[in-house]
Amino acid sequence: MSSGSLRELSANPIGLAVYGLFGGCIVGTLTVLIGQITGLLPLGEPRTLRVPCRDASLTALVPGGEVWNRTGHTGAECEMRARPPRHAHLEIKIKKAWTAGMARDDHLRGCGSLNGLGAVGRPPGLGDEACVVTDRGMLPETTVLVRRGALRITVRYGSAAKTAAAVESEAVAAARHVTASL
Amino acid sequence: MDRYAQAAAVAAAAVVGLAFGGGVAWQMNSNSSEGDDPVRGVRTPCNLVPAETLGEVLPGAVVVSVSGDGEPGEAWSLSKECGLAPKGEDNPSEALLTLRLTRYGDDKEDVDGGKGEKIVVRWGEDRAADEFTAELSRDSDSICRLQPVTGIGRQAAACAGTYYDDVSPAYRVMAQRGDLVVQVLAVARAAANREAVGRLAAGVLEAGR
Repeated sequence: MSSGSLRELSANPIGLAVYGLFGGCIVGTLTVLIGQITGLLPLGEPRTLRVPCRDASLTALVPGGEVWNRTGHTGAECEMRARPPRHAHLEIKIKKAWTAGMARDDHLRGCGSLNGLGAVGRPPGLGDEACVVTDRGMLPETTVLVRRGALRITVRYGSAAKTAAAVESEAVAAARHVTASL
Repeated sequence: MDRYAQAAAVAAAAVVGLAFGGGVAWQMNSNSSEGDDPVRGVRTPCNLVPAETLGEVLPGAVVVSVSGDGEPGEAWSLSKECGLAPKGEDNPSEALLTLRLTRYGDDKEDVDGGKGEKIVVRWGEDRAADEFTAELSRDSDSICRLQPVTGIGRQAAACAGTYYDDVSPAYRVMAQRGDLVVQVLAVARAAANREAVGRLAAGVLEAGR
């Protein structure tokens, strides 16, 4: 299209409306994309996510552990690892999905995947959808998956010094502490 | 048409465009979630080793490290690695026995055929076998070059060499069965009983199903 006909289009009221339509499309698309990338959308979720890794109830699970922590708008995670010989580790991940429905789909996929690790159970006090599984043996390790709105929370705790039952109940307690802090 | 009516028409068109553009962007990204079955989680190999065989390879072993790749439900392959060392070692962070277990999920690929799209499913077993073969050929810069052996899993390879410290003897075993691939690296005294290290790999594959 030559610049002559563009000028003609903008002089015409219908042409101006066409410009408005296309301009609106571009602005709307950009708003959604930028909103999701920066974590501003979806509305109603915490603007900035943080993991309460330095709280005493969590650091007590990994005595003498080194802490890695990452805060963000679309996700946050932290990890603690105790030095050998008494191995223990705690990983907490929070991810913000684009919509609550997407978070739910991904959460259910995660729970479906866990059945390779053992019998999947329902942890008490974490909602109807939450799931928990414990890999038993020399190193008992529990994975807890929770969904809150558009947020997905993963807690993984393993300790060579504890029984599988103790590891599981402490991992579920840690998951409750994390979801309560959101 | 007066100027106000004209401005209102443009504004209305812009609002419609905004809603449309935003709606399309939102929908496109909301539907990108994958609908296929997720790959089953893989257990820590330290929890799968037969206790008796472990006693032959490394008596009194304790877990000194655990790590994993891939989150359940999000990745097409999941792996878990764990390191074992004898209890009360001077430098316990140095694992003498490292086990890595990887599970491959089914993969769907869209192939453009002559007449429209075709979905090709590659089962986890085939992917595991492919990865096994690929690992055999890429192995030149490692501790030793893997050579095929029999009697472990569906296919297996093993080799003996010297660890990265240029002093300790090392023994490597890799084996595949079903959608699982196990890799075992035994160093120093853990490498002494090679036959037992092989049985360890076989035991992990058997228990990991």
